[in-house]
This record gives sequence, C-alpha cells and structure tokens, in this order.
Amino acid sequence: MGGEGVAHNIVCPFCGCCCDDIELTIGGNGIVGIKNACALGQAKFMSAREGRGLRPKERADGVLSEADYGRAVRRSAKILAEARYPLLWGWSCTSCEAQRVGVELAEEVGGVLDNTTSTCHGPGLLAVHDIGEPTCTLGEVRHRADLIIYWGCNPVHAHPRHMRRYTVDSEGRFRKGRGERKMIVVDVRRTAAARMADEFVQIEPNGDYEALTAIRTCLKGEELEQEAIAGLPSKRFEELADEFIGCEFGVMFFGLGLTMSKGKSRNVDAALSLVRDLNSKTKFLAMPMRGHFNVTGANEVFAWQTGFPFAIDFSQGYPRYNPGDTSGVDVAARGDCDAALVVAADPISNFPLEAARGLASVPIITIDPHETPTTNASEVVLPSAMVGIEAGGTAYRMDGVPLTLRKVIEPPEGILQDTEILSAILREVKGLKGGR
Amino acid sequence: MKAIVLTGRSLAQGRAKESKFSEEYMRASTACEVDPDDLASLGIQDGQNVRLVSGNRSIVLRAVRSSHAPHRGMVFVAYGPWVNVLTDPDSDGTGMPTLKGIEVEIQPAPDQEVQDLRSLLGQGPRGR
Repeated sequence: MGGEGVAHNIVCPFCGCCCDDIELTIGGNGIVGIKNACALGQAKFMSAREGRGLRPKERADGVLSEADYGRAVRRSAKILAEARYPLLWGWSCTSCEAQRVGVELAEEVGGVLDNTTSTCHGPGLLAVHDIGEPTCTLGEVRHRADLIIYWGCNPVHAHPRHMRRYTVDSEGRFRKGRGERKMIVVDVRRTAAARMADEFVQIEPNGDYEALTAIRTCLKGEELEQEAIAGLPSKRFEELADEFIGCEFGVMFFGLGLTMSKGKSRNVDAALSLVRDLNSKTKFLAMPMRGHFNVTGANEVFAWQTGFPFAIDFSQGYPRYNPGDTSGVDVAARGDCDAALVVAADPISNFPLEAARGLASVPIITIDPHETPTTNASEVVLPSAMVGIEAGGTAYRMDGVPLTLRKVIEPPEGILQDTEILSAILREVKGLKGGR
Repeated sequence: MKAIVLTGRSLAQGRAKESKFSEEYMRASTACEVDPDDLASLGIQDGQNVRLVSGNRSIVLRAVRSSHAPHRGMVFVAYGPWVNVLTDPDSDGTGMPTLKGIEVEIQPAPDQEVQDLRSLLGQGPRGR
C-alpha cells in the first residue's frame, strides 16, 4: 500500500500469533492509528520510527562512522569471505525470502547458520525429533478444543491475543466460547494467565519433568509411590490424568517454562509423550508458543534448504547439525567463531554475558532496523526496513501456517530491505570467492 | 537469602524491546519481582535495590513487590542483558542456556546502583 488511508487485515510482526486482522491508519507516510492489536503489536507498529539506524556505518580507528551501502556491503563481504568459521545468527524477525538468501550465504562462506530457536524452542525441536509432534492448526483448536492447557507459559504477557483469537475466549464453529471450554494453567508462579484459568496447578521450579511423568504414570493405571511430586500431593496427578482423559479435544500449549528449565529437551520429551499417550484415550494435541513472529518460518526455510531447522554447520562443505556444538550461544561462548553476521536480532543483549563478550570480540556485521547494543558492537552496520511494516514477505505462524506480510509504509529514505542487502553481500562474496 | 531466578517476557519489556536504550526498557528489564514475605525477610522496601549473586556472577536490580505471590524463594526478572549477567552459557548439549531456575543469593543493596545498559556492556556512546 502507498499513500494515506486505512489498511485492513495486516499481519502483526511481533509474536508467533501473527494476528492477521490488524487495521492501520496511514497518514503522512507514518502509522497514525491502529485497531485490533495487543499492547505488544501496538507498540511495535506505533513506534516503528523510533530508535532507527538511518545510515550504514563502518568502524574505522575504533569508531563507527557513516558509510554508504556499497562500501558497507563490500566490507561485510570481505569479512565473511576471509573468515574461517563465521556465525550467521538471528533470522526470526525477518521474512522467509531473506532467510532463503541467508542459507545460500552461509553455505558460500562455510559458516554456522543458527536462528533464535536455539535460545527459545530449540530443545523442543530436539524432543520433536525423538517423539514426534501430534499437532494441528490454531483454526482447529478454535473450532474444536474443549480443554486448553497452558504449561510453562504466560500468554497474557507473551501472546496477549492467543486466548481471544484461538483458544478459550474465541468463538469457534463447534465451541462457542468460554462456557464450552476449560482452561488449566500449570506454572511455578500465579501468573496473569493463571488467574484467568479454571484451574491453576502450581508446581515447584524445575519440577516439570516429574509432574508430566507422574501424569503419564497415572494415565497408564499405575500407582505413584511417592506422597508428593514436584511440590504437589500425588493424588493431584490422578485428578489431572482423569481431567485430561475426560475431554473430547484437548490441546497442550507449552512455553519456555519447559525449554529453559532444568531438563530442557527432556521436559518437552515428557510433554509430547504424555500427549501421545493421551491419544489412546481421547483426542489430544500439542503446540509450542513460538515467540518471534517468524521463528517458525526460519525453521521451515532452513529445514527445506538444508534438512535441519537450526544450528547448521557448513564448515565441511555440507550441512551438519549438532545443537550444543553448532548452536549460536555455544559457538560464541567457546570463542570458535572469528566473525559474525547478525540479521534482525540483538545477541549482545540476549546471550548470556560471557557468550555476548565472546561475540563482541570478533568483527560483527549487523543488518537491523534499530540501534541496539549489537549494532554498537559491530564492525559494519546495515540499517534495514522493518519487515511486516516497511517491507513485505512471508512469515509462518506458530502453527506452521504461512501468511503474507505487507508493506504499509515506505522505509526511511534510502533504507534497503533485508533481502536486498543480503543479496548484495552474497553477490560480493561469490565474486571474492572465485568470480562465480 | 537463597532464591531461584526465573526469566521471561513481560508486557512492559516486550513493548520497549525495540528501543533498547530507552528508559522504559531499562525500567522493565531491571525489575526483580520478589514475594512480599521475602521482601520483609530481606528487610527492604518495594523499589529498593538488591544484589543477586550466582557463583562469581552478580548484578544489582530493583526489587519490586510481586503481584503474582505467593512464590517464596523465587524471583522473576524479564529477559534482557541485566539478568543475562547471571546466566551460565553452558547449554547442556542443547544450544539453550539455563534461563529459568538460576540459583542465587539475594542480598539487600539499597546503596548500590543499577548499571545503565552502556555501562553494563562496557559500551561507550559510540560503540564498544
């Protein structure tokens, strides 16, 4: 869309809900009004012009100075082409089209390609490799689910419209509203979501694996020998097993409470195993609450192109996958990488400090719309258009449904899109590597 | 006092995360939500600072009376560079550092200051 007016059915580029009913009022090439968005989406759209990088920069004599795109692209390509083991990190807040170019670039430079999955639901994907994932679309949840479990997540803060659009408060074809659905929250704190639940089950921190396994045990008709598990009396797990079996269509949404706690991938193993077992008694499905709006797309694109969803090492000339070894935080913390390309992410803020320091010690090239601690630590900064607001493309919702992102306003003057910048770096790298 | 740190998204942190150098982001990411009874045990008031120590890592944050109590022995801090000072980068072979369930000692620190982002990361106004 160009010019002024009202743009309807815009996809929100904040969280994995990818709400596609946003209405924006455009005036003076800015967003002046918004309807239907949550507090998170509203902040992203309405402050789109704040904290922006408006000129490419490169570091000279220790200081970041303004440059033009041509010079910044050439310097970036030289750094990547000469690196022995570059890390290409981020990718979850850009389009699938940019991710595709990123895969080719990673292969060309023989680097490690990782997206932010490895610091959100990466352990969950490891569990999916082991167990499988009985799942569905959010549309099916809305129409059919009568039991919604949120385990280790707080949608009120992280996915504020999830309940209204897709689960307990949505209006489906066969389930009309809250009265026809039950909501159970399992968490270690009484969160805002827990206060809205029909039942809140408070377990001990790091007690998820034991709690999930206890329910599985009850489901199989076996007795729990302990009096208390994960801070709850064992009888409570028998009750939960009965409630889970008693539904017609149940869905467990799980969050980072499982993937970031002790046990990590094994917690999700237990959750997916429980859901698998429940399908011998009733219909039950599971879905991770994905955070960034296109982290699912990053997994999809990387998997199509390489066979693996994240943490891919091209250093041998072919894709290898070994999370824990070939994942971003591990590579940075060990000091293995000798250069980094960061796309639409801020690892200097989001990595553990020791890993952030490891990353900051090598030349970083950052492509991002905003000024961040990572752009501050970079050798080259290439500001880009905000995907889903100033640039179009494709994003995958948390349930794997692809949606079209639209450009609703022009980017600041002269600012290029991620796809254009990455393609230019790729062309330059190919030239440096042998004129292909 | 011993406690366990949980990290996570908060609405305020999520709203401010595109403006990392803003006051809103710092305020949202440096709030340490403490159970009211634990606040009393520590002998500090809502809004006073505490130091969280985990091995040789430590950080000063602003203690905030939790509205999600009871959760004695457990504190919540939004994702961000401040709490990442405490995070062990060891991912147990998964790629994921342990961002929830970090064991810490909480000490009252009413006279110590919360570092701003540039000073925390050792970045000057024009970069590293």
